[in-house]
Amino acid sequence: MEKNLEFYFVKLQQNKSQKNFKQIYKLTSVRLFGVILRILRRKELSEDCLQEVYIKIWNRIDTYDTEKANMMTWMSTIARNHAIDYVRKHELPIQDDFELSIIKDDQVHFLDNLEASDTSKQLHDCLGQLKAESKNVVFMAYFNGLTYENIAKAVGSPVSTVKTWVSRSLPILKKCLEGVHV
Amino acid sequence: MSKTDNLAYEYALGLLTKEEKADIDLTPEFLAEVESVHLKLCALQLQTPLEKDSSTKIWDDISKDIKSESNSWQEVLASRFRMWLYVLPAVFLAFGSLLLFEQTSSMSSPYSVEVLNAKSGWEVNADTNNHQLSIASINPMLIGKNEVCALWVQKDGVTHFISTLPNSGDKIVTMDAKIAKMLIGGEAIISIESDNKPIKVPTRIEYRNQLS
Repeated sequence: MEKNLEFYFVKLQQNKSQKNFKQIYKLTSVRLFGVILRILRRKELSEDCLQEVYIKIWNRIDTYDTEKANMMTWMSTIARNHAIDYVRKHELPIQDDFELSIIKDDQVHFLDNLEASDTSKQLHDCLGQLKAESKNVVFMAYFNGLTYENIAKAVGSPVSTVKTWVSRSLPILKKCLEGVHV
Repeated sequence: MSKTDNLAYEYALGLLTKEEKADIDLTPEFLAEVESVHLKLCALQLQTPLEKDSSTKIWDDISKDIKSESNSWQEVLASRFRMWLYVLPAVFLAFGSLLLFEQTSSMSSPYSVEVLNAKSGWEVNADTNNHQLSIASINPMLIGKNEVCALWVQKDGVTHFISTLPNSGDKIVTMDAKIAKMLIGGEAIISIESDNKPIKVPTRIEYRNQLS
């Protein structure tokens, strides 16, 4: 992906056309959406924020310096900072367990390395071992900031059942995440 | 998985309530473990589903918003170009120059050939001595998240799947001598396939060329 992105970035800097920018959007939107969703925790807001992020990237494309950072790092940093501003601007509630300071640069670099090492598919396959309900619980907690109690209410199951799903899924999740070598 | 491990994952995932967290002894070791889990968990961000419909809608909205940006010199140029597209045929008609008209219409042909060539940015070469196929990507591929490029060779009406290609687009495939011999004079095909389905036949062909 990095090679493709580089190609279209150079093209975009030479010719600031929507066509070139659309290719960059196609290549990067899922990743940036993940970064934003983790911070905003709500799908609709994240989509709205994602749109603003790309407009910001479009406006700043001329300021990008290849010497300072790679493109994906540069774009992810814009996405992360914009999402944090979005939280503040819209006065969104921040989960008590989630501090914005925890989103550090090393996460952005970690994701860069992960993509570069092409282990994303490997992780995807590994997570496929999780049962659907367990995977949903993990994703609901991670991306939507829901606790055991919130999830139990959302899925209409007792808290004890949700805890059982989680306890079964954590060893698999751990194995998958530790299998990711970057 | 130890109890502390479990707790660190539950903590980092945000599954615990304020009250549950208040009961945990937040030792430096435990906090370091939580931070380490946080870092590992961010790999999940690459697995976020951005639905296709949402993605298309978001792009449409972006496209509307950035249109005004390109209203500058590029739009002015484009609008002038469009104006000339209308004016020129009128001028030609006025002078009744059928010859000129034919010349302008024939200009579209080489242009479309050029676009096709630009799209098929690949070089596939057969090294018969070493039974190898080398694939080099000239222009980068544009493939979606769940897509993969596949290399095929077609010979005597039969299409043989050879290999999938890495994201870089460059690969050297070494084959059994018999298979390599069988493929001499065949046609190389590169297609884009979904990586969720078995790859049986080329579906979206991006490139085809006689093996050289």
